[in-house]
Amino acid sequence: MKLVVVAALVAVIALLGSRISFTRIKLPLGLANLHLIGTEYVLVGLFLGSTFLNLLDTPTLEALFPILGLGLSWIGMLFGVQFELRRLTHIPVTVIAITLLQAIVTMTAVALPFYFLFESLFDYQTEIALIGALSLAAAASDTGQSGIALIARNVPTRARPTLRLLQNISHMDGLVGVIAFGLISCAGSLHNESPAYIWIGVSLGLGLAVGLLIAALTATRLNNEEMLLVVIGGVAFGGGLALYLNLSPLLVNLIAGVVVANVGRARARSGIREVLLTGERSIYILFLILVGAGWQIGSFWTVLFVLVYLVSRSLGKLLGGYFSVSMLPPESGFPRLLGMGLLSHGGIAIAIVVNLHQIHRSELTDLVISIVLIGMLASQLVSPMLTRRLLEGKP
Amino acid sequence: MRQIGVFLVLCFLMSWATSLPKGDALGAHITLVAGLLLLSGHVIGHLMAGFRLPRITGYLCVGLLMGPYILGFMTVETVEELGFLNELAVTFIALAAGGELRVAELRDRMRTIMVVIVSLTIVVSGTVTLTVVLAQFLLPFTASFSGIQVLSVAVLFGTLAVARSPSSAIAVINECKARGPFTEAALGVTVVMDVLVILMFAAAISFCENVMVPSGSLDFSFLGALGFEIILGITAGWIIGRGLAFYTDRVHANLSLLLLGTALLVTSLSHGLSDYLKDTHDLVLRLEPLLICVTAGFTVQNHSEQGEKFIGAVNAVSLPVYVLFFTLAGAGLNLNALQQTWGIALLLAAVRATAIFFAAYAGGRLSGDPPHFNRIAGMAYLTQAGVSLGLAMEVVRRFPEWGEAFVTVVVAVIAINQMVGPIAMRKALIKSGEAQVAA
Repeated sequence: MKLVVVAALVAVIALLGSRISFTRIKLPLGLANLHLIGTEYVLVGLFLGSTFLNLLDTPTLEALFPILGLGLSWIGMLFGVQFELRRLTHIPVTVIAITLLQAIVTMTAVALPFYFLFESLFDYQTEIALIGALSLAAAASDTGQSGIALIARNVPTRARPTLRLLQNISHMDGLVGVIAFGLISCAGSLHNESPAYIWIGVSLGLGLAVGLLIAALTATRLNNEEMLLVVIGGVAFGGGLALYLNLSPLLVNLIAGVVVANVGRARARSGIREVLLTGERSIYILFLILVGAGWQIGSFWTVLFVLVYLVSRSLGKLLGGYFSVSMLPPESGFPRLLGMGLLSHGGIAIAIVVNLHQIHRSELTDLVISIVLIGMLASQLVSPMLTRRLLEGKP
Repeated sequence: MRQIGVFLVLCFLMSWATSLPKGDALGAHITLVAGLLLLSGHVIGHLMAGFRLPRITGYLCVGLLMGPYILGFMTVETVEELGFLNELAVTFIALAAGGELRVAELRDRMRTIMVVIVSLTIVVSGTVTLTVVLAQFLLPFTASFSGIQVLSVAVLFGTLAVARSPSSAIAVINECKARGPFTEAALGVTVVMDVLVILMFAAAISFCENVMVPSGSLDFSFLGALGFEIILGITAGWIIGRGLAFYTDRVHANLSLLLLGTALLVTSLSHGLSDYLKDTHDLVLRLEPLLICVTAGFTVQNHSEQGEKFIGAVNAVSLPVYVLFFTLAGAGLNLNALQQTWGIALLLAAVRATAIFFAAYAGGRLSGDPPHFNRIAGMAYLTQAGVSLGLAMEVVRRFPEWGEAFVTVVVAVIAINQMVGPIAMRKALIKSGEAQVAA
């Protein structure tokens, strides 16, 4: 009974929260940014979890794992359906190049020190340490949209092109993280040492198959109830297959979503997007609460890891931005410290580390989650101020 | 053709994935099975509609196919693991059933409903009881029983035969978009009888307990407790209904999800409270989640102005709930039980169906319904599911030495009624002229 009562309590918080969260309220910029991404729900989860009230204890959390799985699958599909190639072709190649470059540089800047730290300080196998470090790097590469959105209204006209560039990057760079993590989830050590390329092929094949299935099912006119049924069914089936095989539901459903966005009928595409968006807020809050509840804050050493994470991620974003802008002609007018505007953290980062926790539960995974959560809180506090300074031209 | 192709691909993917080594992710299989059931239920439901059959027959077939006895994508344990979805669906459908009962419309049909209920109760329970007594030789577990003990078991069979399936009825009515006097009477009778059967069962099992213990004398003190439980259930349902009406009026947002949550909470709290009182105070108090939810839905529809919004919110999410509920019901159909007891099961199902046709016809005639309604009325009352199974499990709990054998027969009868009932009901609604689907 405890499971249901606690689940209902969490659901009520998520339902009511979805009405009041993710809105702009009058707070100092950093706190407003924390509110905008729903950070309070991580703290609610932490309060309900084993650290404090113990309402969401380990057995209860484990029983709610299918919800986490469904949430990951939902996020993956929602992310995927936004990538309609017809629309993407309107985005300049330079923007796509900058997005990729800064994300890859950030991943490298985070993965290297953490691989070294995980392997030298802990007794993990090389491949497991690499999986931990790369997962952290994949999470770090994602840029949140909230910090940029908060200050978008008051940006001077001359800085509008930079603002648009930051917005485009933050819309797209989560893709790099999700794909990177999807590839990490194919590592042999997570699949009884069988070759990774097989699992990469399986991930691609499953995403393609699920996407085509959904496109086929929505090719005929469906009413709203049927559309809801097909979307929930497709999300659960794709995510369930991925999780069953220890793969990333984020990646498999992202591919499925991309297929739907590009193969499905126009009416079906908008119907699917509508259903996915309707549940987005509640699922995201539910997700944050469960993440908070399972959060093992760890020892004092975690703080040091967080510091390393913040420094390496910031360095990666700054260097990535610098290299990208350096390659553009000077008349492009983008500031070389572009990375200052990319420090905000996105929700995809949490999804990535939760996905890691689903397919590989260990102390290292708990540490990775802790680093990302604390790192995210810190980034959210400072990133809007830094973005504003960048856009006002006084870095 | 596309539907069949999609279904085959789903089966192939499932079969292929489950042949590979399973990963560590907790809850992965449940998520996967839920997705499979939803998608294949949708596909086969569509296919059935093409053959002029109810979609829920398609959902049941999908469950049967995916379940432990045919393709084996779901084991008996998986079906049990997903039991919470079943309970959620039953109470959610009860909310919908209560919401569909409109006093203003029922008032005109009240006489028919009451007469048919009395007629069905007496004729069906009486005929099935008599059949079991006469066909005792087909029930080996009663071989050592005395005459009165056989009669008590027969009364239990007779009582369970009265139970219907509001969930199937509502699903078929919704699918056919049926509206009119015949539909109202069918729904009213089905919902009320599901509550009535709980009372009858309590009396029947008490009678059975008394005759199974040789020195026991008839004890009807349970009736007081039962009355209290009913009053408590109705009060709880009324309070929840008022709360839902208030929420619908003032907030309204995410109402569908709130209703799903309410259904889940009511089920869990009802069972939890019963267990708690039993464990801590040795007090037997069974709150019936179905009664609570029917009352809650009825309260919103008839004691507030939020009825239509409420029904709209129920309908918005009812399809996935129905698909999961009926596919799981299909997966839970015990083919082994049917194989072992098909003789007595077929006999009881046939006798029940005949008695229902006669009782519904007689009830309709007595209340002055048009002859074309009376001729088809029986077809609307064949469905049987959830409640009868739940009550039958109570027999196992109280009489472990022969309860399992009893349940095996009941399950087999339910399996037959579950497959035949929705098809018959759909035909009845179409023949009554109240369905908005093509014959």
